[in-house]
Amino acid sequence: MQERKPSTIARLRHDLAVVYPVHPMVRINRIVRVVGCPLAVVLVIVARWGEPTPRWLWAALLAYGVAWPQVAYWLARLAKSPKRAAYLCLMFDCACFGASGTLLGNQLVPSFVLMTGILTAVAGVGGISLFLAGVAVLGVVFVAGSFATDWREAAQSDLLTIFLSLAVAFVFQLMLALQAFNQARELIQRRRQIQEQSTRIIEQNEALEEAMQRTEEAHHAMEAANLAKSRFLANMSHELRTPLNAIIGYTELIQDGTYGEVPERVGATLGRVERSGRNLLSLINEVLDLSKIEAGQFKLDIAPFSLADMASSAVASLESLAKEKRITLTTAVAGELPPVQADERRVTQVLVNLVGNALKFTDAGEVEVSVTADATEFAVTVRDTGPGIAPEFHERIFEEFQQADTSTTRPKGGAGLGLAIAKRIVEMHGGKLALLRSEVNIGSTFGFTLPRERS
Amino acid sequence: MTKRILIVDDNEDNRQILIDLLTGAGFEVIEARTGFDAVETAGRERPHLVLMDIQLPGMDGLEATRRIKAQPELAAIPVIAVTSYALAGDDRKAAAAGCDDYVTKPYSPRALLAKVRSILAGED
Repeated sequence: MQERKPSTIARLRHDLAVVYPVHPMVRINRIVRVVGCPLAVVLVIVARWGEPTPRWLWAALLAYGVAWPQVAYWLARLAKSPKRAAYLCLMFDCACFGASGTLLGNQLVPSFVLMTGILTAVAGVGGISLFLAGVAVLGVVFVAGSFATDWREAAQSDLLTIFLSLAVAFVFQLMLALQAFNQARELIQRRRQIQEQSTRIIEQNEALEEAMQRTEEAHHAMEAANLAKSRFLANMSHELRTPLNAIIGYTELIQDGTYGEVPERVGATLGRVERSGRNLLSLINEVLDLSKIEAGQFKLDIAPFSLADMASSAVASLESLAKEKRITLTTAVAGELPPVQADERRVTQVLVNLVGNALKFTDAGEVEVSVTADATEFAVTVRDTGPGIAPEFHERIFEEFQQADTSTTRPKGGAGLGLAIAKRIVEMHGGKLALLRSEVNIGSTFGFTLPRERS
Repeated sequence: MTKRILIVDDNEDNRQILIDLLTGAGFEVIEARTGFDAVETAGRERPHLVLMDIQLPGMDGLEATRRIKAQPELAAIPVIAVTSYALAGDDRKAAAAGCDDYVTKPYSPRALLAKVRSILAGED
C-alpha cells in the first residue's frame, strides 16, 4: 500500500509548527482578536457615522480591525517568549479599547460594555494580574481621551450602539468559552490516550512477567529432569555393583581358602568366574560412563597432576598382563614436564584403555607409551606392533559399539565402548584423540592431546 | 585383644562377605542394616572400626557417619566409606562427612582386608 503524500501546505504547516511551536495563549488571542477587533471597529464606525472624522482615524480603525489580529499573531508567534509577546499585544488591545470611549463620543454605556468585554477576555487568558494591568492601561487611555475631548460633550447613548457593544462583548465571551471547551476536550483526549498507553504498558509488563515465569518453570523442570537422571544413574550404578560385589568378593574369598582348601580344578574355574566378573564390571562401568555422557551428567574433576607419574602408574597396573603375553611394555617421558590441569582418574582411564587395547590385540613384540609436550599442548602416544587396522575401519573404531573387522576382534572380547568413551573424555578436556598411524601387520599408534592452558 | 569391627550394609550377601572375610582374619564382627541402627550400635558397642556402606535405606551412610563423628566419645573411631556410586566428588563428600578412608564397590576383599589391618595397626 502506498502512503498518501501530504500536500505542500500541510507540510509547510507541519514544518512551521516544528520550528515555531504555537503557544496556546497566542492561538486563543488570535481567535478572539480576529472576531472581536473587526466587530469593535464596526461599532465605532456605526457610532461615528455622519460625524466629522479625520481620514487618518478611519485608516487607523481599518488597520486595527483587519491587520492587527494577524500582526499580533505573528509578533507573538515569532517572539522569543510567545506568552510575554501575547500579553504585550493584549495591553495594546486594552489601550485601543480605552480609546473607544472617546471614539464613541463618550457614550458611557457602550464604552463600559466594550471595555468590560476586553477586560474579561484579558482576565480569561492572563488571570488577575494581567486583568489589573489591562485595567490600568485602559483606564489611563480612557481618562486621557475624555479630558482631551471635553467630557461634558458626552452624547446620549443610542440604542444601536448599545446593542452593538453588547454584541461585541458577547462574541468575545463566546470565543473564549469555545476555546476553553476545545482545550478541555483536548485534555480529556490526551488523558484517555495516556490511560490507554499505560494500560498497554501494564499489559505488556504482565505478558513479560508471564513469559519470565514460564522460562523459570521450564528451567526448574529441566533441573528436576537432570536431578532425576543423575539419581537414576546413581541407583543403576548401585544396583548393578551390589550383586557384582558379592560375586567377585566370594570368588576371591573362596580362592583365598577362607572356606577351606580349594581343589586345583575348582581354583582354575574360580579364576574364570573372577575374570568374567571383572569383565562384566568393566562393561558396566563403560555403559554407565556412556549413559552419564549422554545424560550430561559426566563431570570432570579438574586438578593439577604429573602426566609422567600418571603414565607410569597406569602402565604399572598393566604390567602383569604384558608379562603374561610376553610383550615388552615401556614408557618414555620427554624431559621435565609441567603439571597438567585435568581429571586424573579420567585421563588414567583413557590411557589404560589405549594401552589395554594395544596389549589385547598385540600377540608379540612391544607396546610403547610416550609423553611429550610442546608450547600449547601435552601429547600421549601408544604405539604397538599388533595386527594394525585396515584404512576402512579408521573412522569406525571411534563410534559406539563398533570394532574393526569383527572376525579378528570378536575373540578378543570387548563391547567397543572404551575407545568411544576415551575420545569423549579427551574432547571434554579440550584435546583430541586419534589413530595417528596404522598399517596392517605392522602396528598402530594411537595418541591424544591435552591443552596446556584450560580455556 | 580381639578388635571389634562394625559393618553397615543393607545387603545380606555383602554383609556375609565381610563377616566371612573379617572373622576369618580373626576380628570380631558386629552388624547393622540401617543408618539409625549403625549410630545406635556404634554408641552401644564402641567398635574399633566401622565399614560404612553409603547407600542405605532411610538415613544414608554419610549422615550416619556425621552423627557418629558428632559424639565426642565415638569421634575417634575410624570410618571407612564403602560406596557404589563411584561418581566424581564422592570421595570428597565422604571425607567431608568425616570418613577416614574410602573404597568403591566392588572391592577386592584382599585389598580391603589390607586396608583394615593397616588402619587398625595405626590405631595402636
